[in-house]
Parts: sequence; C-alpha cells; structure tokens
Amino acid sequence: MTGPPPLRLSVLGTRFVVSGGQEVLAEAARLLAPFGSSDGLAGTDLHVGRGMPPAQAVAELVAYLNATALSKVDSLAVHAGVVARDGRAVAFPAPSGAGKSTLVAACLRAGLAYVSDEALCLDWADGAVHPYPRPLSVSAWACTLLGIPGPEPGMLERFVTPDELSAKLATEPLSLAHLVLLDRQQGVSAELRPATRQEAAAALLERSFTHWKRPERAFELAHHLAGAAQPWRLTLGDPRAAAPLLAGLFT
Amino acid sequence: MSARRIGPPPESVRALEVDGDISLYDRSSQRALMLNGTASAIWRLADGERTLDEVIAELASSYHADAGAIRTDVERTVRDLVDAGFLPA
Repeated sequence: MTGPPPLRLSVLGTRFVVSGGQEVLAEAARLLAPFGSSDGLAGTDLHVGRGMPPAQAVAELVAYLNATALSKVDSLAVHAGVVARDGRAVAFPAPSGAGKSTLVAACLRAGLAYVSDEALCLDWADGAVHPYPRPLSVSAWACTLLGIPGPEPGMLERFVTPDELSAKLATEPLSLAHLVLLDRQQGVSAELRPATRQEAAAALLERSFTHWKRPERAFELAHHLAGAAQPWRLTLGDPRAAAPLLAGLFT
Repeated sequence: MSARRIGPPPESVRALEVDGDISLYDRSSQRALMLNGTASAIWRLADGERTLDEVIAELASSYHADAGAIRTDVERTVRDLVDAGFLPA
C-alpha cells in the first residue's frame, strides 16, 4: 500500500521531502504553498503525523522547518515581523510574545503585503529583504481580536495564511524602509514616534539568529540598514489601532 | 591628577558612527558595544595622546561642566571600556 506523494519544500534554501498521512500532508501543502518545490531535488526526509492529531503534527512540522531553515539560512536573519508595500518593507524586531504575529496580521488587514511573522532575512551582500512567508502563528487571543476562527481544542495557536486575511504575499526582494521598535503595553493608545538609529542597529543585532556566522559583517550591515531605514518606536496598545500607523508610513 | 594616557584603541577595534553615537566592534573578541553620547565623546578623545586629566578638562570645557563633577563618570566610562577590551589597560 502506498501513501500520498511526498511534499517537497524549499524553505530559505533548505530542502525537505515530507511524507505522512493524507490529511496532514494536505494541510501542510496548503499552509506551506509558498515553499513548494517541484524540481525533484533531494532534501532532508521527514515523516510526520505518526500517532498524533493532524493539527499537532502540522504544528510540529512547521516548528521543525522553521528552526532548521533559520539555523541554516545564508543571510542575517533577525527575529521580527515584516510587512511591505510597493517593494519597501517595515520590520519590527522583537522577541517571542511581544505581539509580532498579531501586529503582522493586523497590518495585513490594513492592506499591507505579507513578508514574515517570524524573521527578517537580510542579504549579507546588500541588505535586501528576502521574504519568509511561513504561515502566521496566531494565538487564540489574537484570533478573537481579529475576528477569525481560533485554534483547535488543545492547541494554543492556529496557522493562518495571508489569503484568510485577504492579503498578498511579497515575493521579490525588498528594501528595508522602516525599522520599528515595539513597546507592548496594555490599555494605552498606539503611538509612533522617532527612535535613534543606534537603537535600531542594536535591536537588529540583539534579535539576530545568525550574526554569529559573520559577526563583523552583521555589525556593519545592522548599522548600514539602521542608517538607511527610518527608525521608529511604536507603543503597541491595540494592534488594530497600531496597524494603520505602520500603513501610514508608506503614504 | 592622572598623567596616564587614554587609548589608543587596539587595532582589532572598529568604530562606526550613526547620528553622532559611536558603536564599537572588536574583531578579536567578536563583541559589540553601543556608546551613548557622553561615552562617544570620551571615546573620540581616547587617542593615546591625551591624559585622563586632559580628557576630563576638554569634556568639561565642551559641556560647560565642572571638571570635578564629571571626573567620576569619565573614570568609570574609561574603566568600563578598558575592562571590555575596547581600550588598552
């Protein structure tokens, strides 16, 4: 008995061949469509879904792909949410739990294109932004806030595609136009004000996954980009109120 | 009084300036350090030609401050830069 054909993926240049049950592969193919690869080249073999609910199997697959691809990517990868318009990107470097995915989702609702809710991937040579459009990982709280279906029972988050938010994917390399430092506070109005370029450079380095691969180049690039992009500090109250402020940076 | 000369930085240290603030990178330790405006001003004077007293006097003149009042802060900043390897002991 043969299973469904494997799913071939290329994630930030790392290739995977994923096999598993029909339901898990179909959902993985839907969520990971931007990474689909049809060239037939070999990659790391993964088998997913044995003995676990499909939603959990897909979550574990996405987490594994993310960790593996980001550890291998040949770019300065920074933990950040990233959205774009007309070839120009705005990135908000921040740690887990700072509200990146929710703010990205709110920005997509505000008409911006999707780049990533996880990583700002910067070309080592020229600082161009390479999209990393993994499915958005949205918490139950954020799903409620955004008025979209929440996670399945037993899951803390749900994967959301840009389609569900009526947003487009950014597919070509982008220029980094704005760097936004997030101050998450409850019960305050969203406010955007200038930050210093040094704060922006520090945020890029502090949140980088891969600076250790080329530390001096990472130092140069962070300062070059902080000098070229506009640095901002965003007091993040309700993400739905903050998103139009970021969209307004492009007008 | 201190006749000890401050600096110059080791050749492994690289400095970049963004909007008046200096960031340092040491190739040998692979460490980076971002300096605020005051520390940046001290760094610019740490050229191996000036003594600590001369650095303090120049800063006091530039910032219209009393040399005695800023001495402790300047000494602490220089000590921190030395301890972090961005200036020689």
